[in-house]
Amino acid sequence: MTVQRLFYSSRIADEHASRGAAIAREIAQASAVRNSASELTGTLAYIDGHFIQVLEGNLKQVEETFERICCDFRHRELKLLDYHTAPSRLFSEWAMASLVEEDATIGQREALSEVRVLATLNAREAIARMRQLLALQDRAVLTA
Amino acid sequence: MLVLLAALLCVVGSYVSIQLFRRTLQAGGGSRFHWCFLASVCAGSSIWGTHFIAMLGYQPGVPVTFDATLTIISVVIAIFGVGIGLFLSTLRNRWFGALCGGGTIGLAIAAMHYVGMFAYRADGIVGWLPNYVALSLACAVVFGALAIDRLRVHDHEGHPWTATLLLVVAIVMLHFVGMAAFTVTPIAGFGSGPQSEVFVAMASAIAMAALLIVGTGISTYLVEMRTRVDAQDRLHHIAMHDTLTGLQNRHAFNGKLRRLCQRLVKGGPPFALLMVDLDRFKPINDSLGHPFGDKVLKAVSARLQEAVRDNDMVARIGGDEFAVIAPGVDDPSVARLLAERIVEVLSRPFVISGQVADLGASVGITLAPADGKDAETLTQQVDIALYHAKNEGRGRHCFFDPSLTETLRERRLLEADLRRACMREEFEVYFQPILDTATREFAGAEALVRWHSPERGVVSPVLFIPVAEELGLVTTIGALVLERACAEAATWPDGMTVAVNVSPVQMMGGRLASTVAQALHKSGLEPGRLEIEITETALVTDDELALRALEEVRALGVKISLDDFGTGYSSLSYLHRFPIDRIKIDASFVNQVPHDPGSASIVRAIAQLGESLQMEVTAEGIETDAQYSYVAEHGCRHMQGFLFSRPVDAATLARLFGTHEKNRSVA
Repeated sequence: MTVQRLFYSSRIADEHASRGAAIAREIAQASAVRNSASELTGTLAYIDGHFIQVLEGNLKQVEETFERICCDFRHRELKLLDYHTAPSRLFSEWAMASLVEEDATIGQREALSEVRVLATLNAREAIARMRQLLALQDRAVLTA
Repeated sequence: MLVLLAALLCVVGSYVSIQLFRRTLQAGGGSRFHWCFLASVCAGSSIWGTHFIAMLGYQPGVPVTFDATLTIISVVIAIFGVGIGLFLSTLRNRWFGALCGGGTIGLAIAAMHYVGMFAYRADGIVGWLPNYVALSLACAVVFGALAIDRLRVHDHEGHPWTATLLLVVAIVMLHFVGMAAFTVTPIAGFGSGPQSEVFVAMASAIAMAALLIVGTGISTYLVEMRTRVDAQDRLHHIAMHDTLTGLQNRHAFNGKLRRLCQRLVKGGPPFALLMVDLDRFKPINDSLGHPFGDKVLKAVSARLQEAVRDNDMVARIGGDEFAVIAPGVDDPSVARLLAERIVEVLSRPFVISGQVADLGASVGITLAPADGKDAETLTQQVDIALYHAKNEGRGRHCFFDPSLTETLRERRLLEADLRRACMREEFEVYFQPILDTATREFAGAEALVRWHSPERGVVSPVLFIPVAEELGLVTTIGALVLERACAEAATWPDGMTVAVNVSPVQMMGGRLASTVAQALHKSGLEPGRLEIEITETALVTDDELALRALEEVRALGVKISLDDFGTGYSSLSYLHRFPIDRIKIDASFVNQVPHDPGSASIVRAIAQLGESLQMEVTAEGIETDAQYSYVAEHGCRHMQGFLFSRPVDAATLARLFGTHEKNRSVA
């Protein structure tokens, strides 16, 4: 069963910049609730005032969700970085995981900054890094 | 009390009956029969009910009973009589219809009344006054006919009150005049005892039944009315809305704009008018198909509605053109914010059915009443602003400004002059010689077009070629230049080449190869001495078409060179895909060498690239000796620039080539 995977980045609108991290958490939480009903998975990163999000699911749900995002004025300079059909989900364990810079350890922050740079240059690699980060984060939570 | 009830039943019954009569007259085919049935049942029962209830209230001073059979017959007479009358009312001739139809209805009322009166058994001596009977009949016929006539000529939406009133008059007159004709003399010995209970119960039941029938008629009428209003609302909605996107359409937009302008005159609120035009919609529609284009348009409308404020009107007024009216906006910064939101939201990608489409939009803005007060002016102004936004490079907004009108006027003049220039062939071909650094002799020349306008003097190609491309004139101009350049080159010494620029529009026109072949044939120039110069923009628009055009030209034996190399996008990939013989390094890099390391390395890289791909390399814009030496040193064989020669006319070039080229050398 193949899935559609969509990857985009955007900058937070200036008027919302002061509470960017909070908005990122809200968005991740709200979409996690909505996605669990719609079988959408993915992750949302917020780094240095930029959103970077992966959405996975069936074509209709991914496209409808992305269209909703495109109508959202909290985003600026929204860029579609990758849209492809993949053999399976990468983020099957997360309805919508969040990777917010402000909540991260120093090590994670560095990795997140790398993801941000990679996103526009090599989308697939950036997605893979986000997946790794989440796996590490979960392990950290388990051992803590 | 009973008389009042009878009066009420008479008025309400007439009101409903007239409405039903009207529907009967309006209806056609089978539904006319149904309406007629309903109307006659309703009218018959209310006429009869009025009579019956009034009779219950009538106190003849003697005991009274009703004959059941005759009473029922009187109802049937009323219903059938009205039904026949209604059918006759639909006769085409006005007088015939009114007299026969209305008259029959009047007679039906009368017949019902008198049959009803025979059913009325008073215990006394009953007498009839013939004059009153005749008068009552005349009244019923005349008023009935008048009612139908009024109803037939009634042609507006409101209720036909006159006809209703006439029907009431017909019923009431008949009853009272009829009752005046009726006399009862009590017979001595039969006391005026109370009415029996059975009689009252039966009479009340009959009256109730009559009321129920009239009630049914009323509700039927109301339900039908509601359905009709709904249908009208739906029709109105269809007329004012775009079926694809559900947005309001051009018709609705024009109406709203006109209304706002009318209110403006009376000191109404200001508003902003924005015109939105999608960039790149047509190629997407053409390449990905109309069903896809339709989905994109739906998404565009949804996004537009997100971008505007709640009270703003968004209308689709053309294939890919939308208008926004923002009431209450007189502050340019508010209008700007709105336009920015629209440009932003439409610049985002559209991901639909697994495909990705990048559109973008241009927005023109005008403010009322600051810029104009009438719909026509505002529409013109917003179009000018939109045109300007598109001309400035799309994906942006532009406010209307009176100076734009002037810009547009100048542009129109230029267009008109250019059209005339094409007819009069006001173009001349100039040549800039190309030097071969290996032999230090001229190897050929690049043909350049000049426009000698009698009104404007010499106009630069930079100014008029974009206009010519937009107007489609560039094909004519290009063919002219090609022909003259070939004719000129045929007179040059053997081996000298001529390079001619070809616009992307000309290349995609599909007739490039035949134009080239014709120019070669006319001039007798060897195909190998002609080079076609194209730019990268020609290759990115539609690479399949470009490839085909270039291969056709190449098949003639003509060479192809890529102009302005290095300024476009991923230039490298084109070199592999397209049949290119030569690359020309853009003057902007050459100008910077040798002092600018970046440009120097680009020039070196291009020269090496040419060598490895076995393409010739020409450097353009050589102005200094230092540039010459640097470029020559790094492997560019051919050069052109002011250092050797400016573009010159054909005669000068012939002198350069014919007499001086052997002596000419560069230090």
